Amino acid sequence: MAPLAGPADASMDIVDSQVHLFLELDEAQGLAAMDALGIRSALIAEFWGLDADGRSQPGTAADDGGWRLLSPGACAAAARHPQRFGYVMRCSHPDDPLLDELVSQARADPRCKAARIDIRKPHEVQAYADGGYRRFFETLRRHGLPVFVLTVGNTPLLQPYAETFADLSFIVDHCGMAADERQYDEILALAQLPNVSMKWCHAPRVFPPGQGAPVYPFDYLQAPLQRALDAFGANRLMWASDFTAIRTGHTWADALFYLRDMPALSPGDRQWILGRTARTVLNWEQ
Amino acid sequence: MDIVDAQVHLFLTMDEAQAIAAMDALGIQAMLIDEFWGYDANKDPQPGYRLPGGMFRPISPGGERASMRHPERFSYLQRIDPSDPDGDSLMRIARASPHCRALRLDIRAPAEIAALRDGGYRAFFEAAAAHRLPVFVLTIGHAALLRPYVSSIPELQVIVDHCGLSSEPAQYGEVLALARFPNVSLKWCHAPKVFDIHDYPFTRLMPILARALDAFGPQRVLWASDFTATKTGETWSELLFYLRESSSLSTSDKEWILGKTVRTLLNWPAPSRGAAPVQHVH
Repeated sequence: MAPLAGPADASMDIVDSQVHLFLELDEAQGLAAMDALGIRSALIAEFWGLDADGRSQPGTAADDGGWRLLSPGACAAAARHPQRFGYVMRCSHPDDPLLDELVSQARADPRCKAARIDIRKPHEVQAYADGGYRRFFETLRRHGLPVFVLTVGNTPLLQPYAETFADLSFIVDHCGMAADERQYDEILALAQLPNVSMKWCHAPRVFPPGQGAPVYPFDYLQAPLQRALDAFGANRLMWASDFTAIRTGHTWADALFYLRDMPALSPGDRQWILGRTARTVLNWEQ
Repeated sequence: MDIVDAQVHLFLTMDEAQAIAAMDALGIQAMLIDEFWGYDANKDPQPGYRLPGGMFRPISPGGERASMRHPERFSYLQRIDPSDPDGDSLMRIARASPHCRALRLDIRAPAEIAALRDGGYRAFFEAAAAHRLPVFVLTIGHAALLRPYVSSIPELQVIVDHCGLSSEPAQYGEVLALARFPNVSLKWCHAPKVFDIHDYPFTRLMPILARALDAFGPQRVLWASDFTATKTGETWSELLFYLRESSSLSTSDKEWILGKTVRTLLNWPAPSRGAAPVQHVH
């Protein structure tokens, strides 16, 4: 591969904060597409798909029977191309007997930028609501590993954790995936806690398009984005495409260029959202 | 929109799988491959080989293979040296390939330019016309020399490469003047370099493109990125989006420039589209 020439505007350090590499694209294909898009770095959340038992791969059974997610391909890709890739330690088992060891190991790899937890199944959500994730977050806090939290319609449940673990950096996934407008208010209210950031990802499907269709350049997103900017500030908003999961028919390029070319976005805000926030929050040097 | 990139040097910086990944990321349905791997130790452009007489013959095995494996994503063009002793056979073979859409000439050396001026390309162009193979022609500021050929061989389809590749305003005027011949089209490629405008979204290119559209009409202007040869830092996506999202072009103009023109000129049908696969968020 030829090295990335870099976008014509050299100030645009573009970081995509979530791609499922190895689901559709391998490492070389990922780099080719990133070059075409002018994306300097991407944060890999490794995902090969679900196996016959509905378990997320790659993963393995922990001693207690829980499902431990692994990231071998991401770890290798980031080792080979540390300027182009970082990765998250994917988590689905907050009570993993080896949690401390795994987080310690992940934290020691300079290419592992954060953990990511997916809290979606009913028993997970129940445990989350009942304070059952305290040990998990406390372990991350102790090792200093930021954490992305994905929930669907339950993002406000983050508040007591974010208050308790004030020196752990939390990133709300996928704009919070609010159940409705009122819940989006509650999610934005999390911005009062300085250790909470938001990942601006899947906005075209998270927010209702109103009268129009969810088509590029997604003008209906300007209002919710402005509200997120007012609440969090650009330095706590980071863009991600999660392009393999786009269901509305738009491309990876569309997911980037609607923000890159949005007239209402100031150059400074754009620079933060498209790269600088990820660099800063995830301690990810260029 | 059916977007076709009318020139990429596949295999120079990326292979077939990487190209498909990037094309998917950009929303590009198809590309025309001008196969080029780089220069070998003898400074010959690969792939190809030397004939016993010393003449170099370019070949396109990777372009042909990629097109056979992914006919909806790739077609290719064939470079043929006008002095190749088997030129007519090569054209027959090219014409017989379901995925070879055109020929390409690079007329750059002083001897080549002199030959173009002196009628030395007549046999080549007549043969291309006879085989119904459109010819992309790259010259640097000498597009006007095509005039006697296109005026006297009406069945010949010529596509002027790279906006005529001259920053001299008078020479761009000569390129546009070729539009009076209905068998001449313009490849809108390398415009940022040709006109020395490098700040995306290249707004100052739009009046220059408007002149081309006035002269040729959108049905004879076709976009190509040639992104592997871009030395000034523009990305493939920028080279597409400045046109796709331009507020000064109509939707119909965009459809022609970004795909329909090359489909039509090269007799390259668009595939029928299936439904997008359903994916879940993780």
